[in-house]
Amino acid sequence: MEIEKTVKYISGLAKQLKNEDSFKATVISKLKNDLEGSRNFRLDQITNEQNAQATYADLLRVHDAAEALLNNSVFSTDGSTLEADRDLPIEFAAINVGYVNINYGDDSGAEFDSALSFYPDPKIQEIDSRVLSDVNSMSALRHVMEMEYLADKMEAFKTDSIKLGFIDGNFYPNFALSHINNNSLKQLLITRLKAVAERVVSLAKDNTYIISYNSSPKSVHITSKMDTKISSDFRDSEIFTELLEDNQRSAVFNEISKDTDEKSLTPVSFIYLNNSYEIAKIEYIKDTIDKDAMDKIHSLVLSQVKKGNGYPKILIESHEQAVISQSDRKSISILTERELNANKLKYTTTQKYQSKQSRNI
Amino acid sequence: MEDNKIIGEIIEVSSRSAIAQSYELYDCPPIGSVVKCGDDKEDIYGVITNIETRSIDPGRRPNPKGPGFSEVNELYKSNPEITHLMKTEFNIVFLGYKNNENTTEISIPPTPPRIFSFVSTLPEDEMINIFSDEGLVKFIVNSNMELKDDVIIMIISKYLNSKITKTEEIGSFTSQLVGALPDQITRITNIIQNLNLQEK
Repeated sequence: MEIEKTVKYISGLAKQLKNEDSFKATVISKLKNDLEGSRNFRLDQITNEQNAQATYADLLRVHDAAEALLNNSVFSTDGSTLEADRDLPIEFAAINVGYVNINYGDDSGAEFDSALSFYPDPKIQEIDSRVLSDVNSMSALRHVMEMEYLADKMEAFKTDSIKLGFIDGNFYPNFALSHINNNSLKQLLITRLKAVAERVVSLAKDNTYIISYNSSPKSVHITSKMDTKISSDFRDSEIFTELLEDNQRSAVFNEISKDTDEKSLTPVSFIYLNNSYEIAKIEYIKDTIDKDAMDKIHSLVLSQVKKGNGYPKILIESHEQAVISQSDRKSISILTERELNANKLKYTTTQKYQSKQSRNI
Repeated sequence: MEDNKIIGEIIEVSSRSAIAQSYELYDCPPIGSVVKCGDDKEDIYGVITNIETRSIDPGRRPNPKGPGFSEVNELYKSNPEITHLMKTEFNIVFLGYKNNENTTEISIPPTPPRIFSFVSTLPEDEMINIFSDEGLVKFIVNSNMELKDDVIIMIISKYLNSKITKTEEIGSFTSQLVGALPDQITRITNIIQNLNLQEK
């Protein structure tokens, strides 16, 4: 590879970014004044905590963290996918969902677990061989399984303390869902998401909450609705970096859904949080968390972020539980080859694969 | 630690030594302790020569959790996942085994214990039996274990402190050391002086 050519190209991109940053810095420096000057400017398709039309005034509203809770239980699931190998005569995929629960305070302790599922599964007809190699289908399925597993575990766990479950990324897998071509699978996943959402609503009545946590999100829910003179291609996280002091959170916002399949899901609300390392977006099912509960959740999230040196500890550990490592993948490949040969199904990897492994001159 | 308690399993083994992992974090007898390895069919004895606690995942190094804690216990309580993410391993150097006649021989075992063999603490009678063999000290001295003199000091101290010790027993160990380490008076003196004998 021509390194010099690559360096020149990257250097050009960096200079372009510097110019953009300098322009953004000028706009951002005036942001608070601009918002104050147009407090009643409407953020189209966005409502506030009172379900009223959101305006710039809502962007200027901030909340500080409550005092940290001594006794609390946090939960998280995360998933990892083993994609189907098209070179194999048997095609299968696997999803591993990792789970972690950590209890702080008087009954401190932790539980680690994981659940492995293989596809195709005769019980789920919608997942056929075409689905197995479709990244979006598998990603959405994995997200649904993470949510279901988290709800199962949190429902079963008994404690008098507050229980907070973390989902990695967005609350719903909207992007993946919107890119699924297989309509029967899409409908199945939406049905399962609606069912798990009902369980989340029910859990919230018992001091048990599930949120999603998105680190430095690229979302533009707010900025895409702002006056272009002010927002000028900002991400929401960029404006909230300016509006929120360390450890503060924004007001609650809701985005009014467009009429698409995935938007028929139980609506979610979101807030932004400056966790003193970065801006994070927290989503939850609308009306499941009131201000008092959010004050507690706010302090729990900050405590998790501190324990994880910038990212919630519980999400770090559930990710580690979920990962299907390279050595796991290699073992699965060897086992598959062995089983095929044991059944007198002569099989070796393709010559292309073998040539890439040996790399002879 | 109670006698005959299964504390872990062997995870790596060769003719002279093994590495075991304890079931619970830190739940391992101190260096110099004699343990039993094997199963129903075999009894192999070894001494713990090294204890190591580290991450279960070699790719994840622990980071400090503080500052902000005044006690280590407080730090552990605030981070209860630690005990799931760390492991304690210990090295065992084989000292002897029970032969077909059910007598103890001080030697490496003819075949090492199997992987995943249990490691258990030793009942007092079996410990006395091993230590009554005059070849024990010489075997340890001639082995290639790590921290040899420290282990000799700890193993003899531990044995002598486990019961009411007669003066002649200390003399017996001194004689065994003189026999095993001829012309090494300074080293023997150092070992004897460092025996940490507690009054009963």
